[in-house]
Amino acid sequence: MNATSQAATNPYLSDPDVQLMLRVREDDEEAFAELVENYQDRVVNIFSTILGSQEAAEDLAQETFMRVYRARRGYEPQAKFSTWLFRIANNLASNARRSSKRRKEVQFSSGESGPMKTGLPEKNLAEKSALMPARQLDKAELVTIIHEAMETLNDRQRMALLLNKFEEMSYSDIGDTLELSPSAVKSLLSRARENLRDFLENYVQM
Amino acid sequence: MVEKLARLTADQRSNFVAYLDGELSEQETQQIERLLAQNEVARHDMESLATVWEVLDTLPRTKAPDDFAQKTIATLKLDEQQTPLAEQAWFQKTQEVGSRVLGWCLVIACGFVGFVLLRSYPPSSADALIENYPVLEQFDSYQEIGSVEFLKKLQSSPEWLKHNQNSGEAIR
Repeated sequence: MNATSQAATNPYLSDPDVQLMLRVREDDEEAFAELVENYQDRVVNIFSTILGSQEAAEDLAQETFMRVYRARRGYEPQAKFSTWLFRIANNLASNARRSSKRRKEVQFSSGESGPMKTGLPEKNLAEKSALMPARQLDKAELVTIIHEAMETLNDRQRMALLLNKFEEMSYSDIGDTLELSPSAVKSLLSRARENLRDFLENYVQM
Repeated sequence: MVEKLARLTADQRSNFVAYLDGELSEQETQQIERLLAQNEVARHDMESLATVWEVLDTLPRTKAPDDFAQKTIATLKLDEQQTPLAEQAWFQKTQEVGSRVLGWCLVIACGFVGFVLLRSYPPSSADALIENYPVLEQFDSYQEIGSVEFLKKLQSSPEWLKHNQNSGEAIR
């Protein structure tokens, strides 16, 4: 079977990153380095927005690529490479957020008695800004508020929103990544953007 | 005719984001555009959703450090070195090839044993001929002698014993 007829039977074979991954499957280290370079900024950016920490984002991005490499032998092109990569990233992000929540719960439950100090600058900022709705926010404050607004979303809404915004993924591709139907993605994104609006309208003129 | 300030249905609202993302069918797009032309609430809703989208552009785009790919590959190599032998790729491959070779050896051995067993059981007429070859070789002589009784008599006759004795001395 030649390359043209293979591409006709499997449309994903025309994806250049799928071709790179097929080379990675044959232990081609250069192809793996090329894949990492193609996606490193995008994966780090998504993790950084979700976790709010550059260091944690880099660690998780590295873990994502390591999982890709470890899974190379069983790789079969059944989706776009980016869909597969971001599905792995989504699983890792969900796990990281779950364990981070558990850590926070442990910290709070083992803390000193008396009024609880949150230690979260975002919370203080939100309270401060809420008192001054007419005040013009600077960029750093706005970023903090957006992060706080993102926290009001659930994991799926957040990932769908970021894939839609930063990766410019279609609903169909987001559905493949999050294992949802396109109509489920439509309502997920609609709720996500409405939730953000509900939060942000306290700070930003809509 | 849609009222200027008519409240929006949940379905209409959920289509607004899809409209902004260009994910609606032609028919749905036209419905939304008609609604936007006639309803102020819808226009305000759509504008606020679009603003939210623009506000997200404020988020900084984080980049990976320049040596990210090199570090990832180095970590992978280190990780493979620390991986227990049984989990290392080369070992798994060797194990896979080894078990295939062993499997083939077993198949060949079983085939050989089967062949030997089939050849020896049940015994063929050729086997009986081979086994009785010494008798068959002398068959004509035995037929001339006629019976076993004659041989027994010959063995006990004094002439035969004397003949045997002489032959033994001659050989020595």
